Amino acid sequence: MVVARWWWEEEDHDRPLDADVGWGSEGIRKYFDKHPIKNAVGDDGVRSIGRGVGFEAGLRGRRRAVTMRLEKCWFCSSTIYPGHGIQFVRNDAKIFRFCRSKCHKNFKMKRNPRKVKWTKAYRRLHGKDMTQDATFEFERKRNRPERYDRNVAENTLKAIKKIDKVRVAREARHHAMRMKGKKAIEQRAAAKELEQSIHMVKAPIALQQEPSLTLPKIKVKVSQSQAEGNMEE
Amino acid sequence: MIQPQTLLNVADNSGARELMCIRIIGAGNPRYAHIGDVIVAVIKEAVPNMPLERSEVIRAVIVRTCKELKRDNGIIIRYDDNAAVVIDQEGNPKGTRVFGAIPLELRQLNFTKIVSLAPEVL
Repeated sequence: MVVARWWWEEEDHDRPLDADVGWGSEGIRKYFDKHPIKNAVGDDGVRSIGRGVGFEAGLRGRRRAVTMRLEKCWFCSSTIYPGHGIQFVRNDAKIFRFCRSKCHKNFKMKRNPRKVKWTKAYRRLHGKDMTQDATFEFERKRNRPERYDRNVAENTLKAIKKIDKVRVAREARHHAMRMKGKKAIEQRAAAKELEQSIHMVKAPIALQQEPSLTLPKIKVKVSQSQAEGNMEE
Repeated sequence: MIQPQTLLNVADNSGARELMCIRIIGAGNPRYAHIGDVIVAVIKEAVPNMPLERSEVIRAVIVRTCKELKRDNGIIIRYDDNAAVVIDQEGNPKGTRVFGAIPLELRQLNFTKIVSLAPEVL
C-alpha cells in the first residue's frame, strides 16, 4: 500500500494545499519560495532539499510526494525493503527488482523462476502454496497515493497485522491439507520395510531358531478410505 | 564506469550510432565517468546523411551505465548498456529525440531538455 505523506503539511494545518499552488512544477517551485524548508542547511540546500527529496518518478509533471513502496522481488517474490537489492532497467524500460544478489544472479543466468524450486512462482504453480485467497486482494498494487490521515494509517497498520494472521493461518491449513495422510503412508511403508528387510538386521536362520527374537507385528491405524485404496491394489 | 576507449551507444537521433570516450570533462587521469558526467567522444559509427559524421569529436553526457547508480534513498539501479546523448557546448542535446530510460539525476544536473524528451524517466 502506498501512503503518500506531504511532509510540509505539518507546518500549516488550516490552509488547504491547493489554495495558491498550481499542479505543475512551476507551482511547486512557487510553493517552496513561499514556504522554505526550516531545517535546511545553507542557501542552496533549501532548493535541493525541497525539490530533490520530494520528487519521485512516476508522477511526472504533477506534484510529487515522498513515497515508499515495498516492492516484490521479480525472481523469488519476497518483499524488498528500502535499502536492499538492485533494480535492473532493461532497454525497453522494464524494471526488474531483486531482493538480493542470489535472485539477481539467477536472473542473469536466465533461469526461469517458475522452474526454480525455492521461488514463490514455482510453489504457486505447483500447488505447494495457496494461489487464490481473499487475503491477497488486500495487497494489490494501488497507484493512487492517499492523502495522509492519521486514523487511516493507524487502522491500516492494525488491519495489516490481522490480515497477516489470517493469511498465515490459511496457509498453514493449506499445508496441512496437502500433508494429510502422509503419516499413515509413512507408517505403512516402515512396517513393510521392517517385514521385508529384517534379514539386513538379523539372519533369517537366527530368527527361526530363536522365536523370541521375532519382532512383534505392528498395528497401523488406517482410515477407511485408505483401507479401500489398499484393497484396490 | 566510463573511461577513455569505452564504447557507448547513442541514445538520441543526432546521427551518431556509437561513440568512443576520449576524455572526461573536469577530471584528472585515473577517474571514471558515471551517469551525468560530460565526456568528450569521437564518433565511431554514424547514420549516413546526417549532420554528424564518423570520426568527429563531440561532447556527450552519459545517461545509462551498466555500473550501478546509487541513490540516497537506498535504491540501486543498473542499466543494460552504456549510453550517452550528444550535446553541444552549452549542454543542449543535438538531437530531437531521446531513446530509452533516463535517470532522474539528469534533472538535478540541469539537463532538463534531455529529461523532457525522455520517453521514460526512472
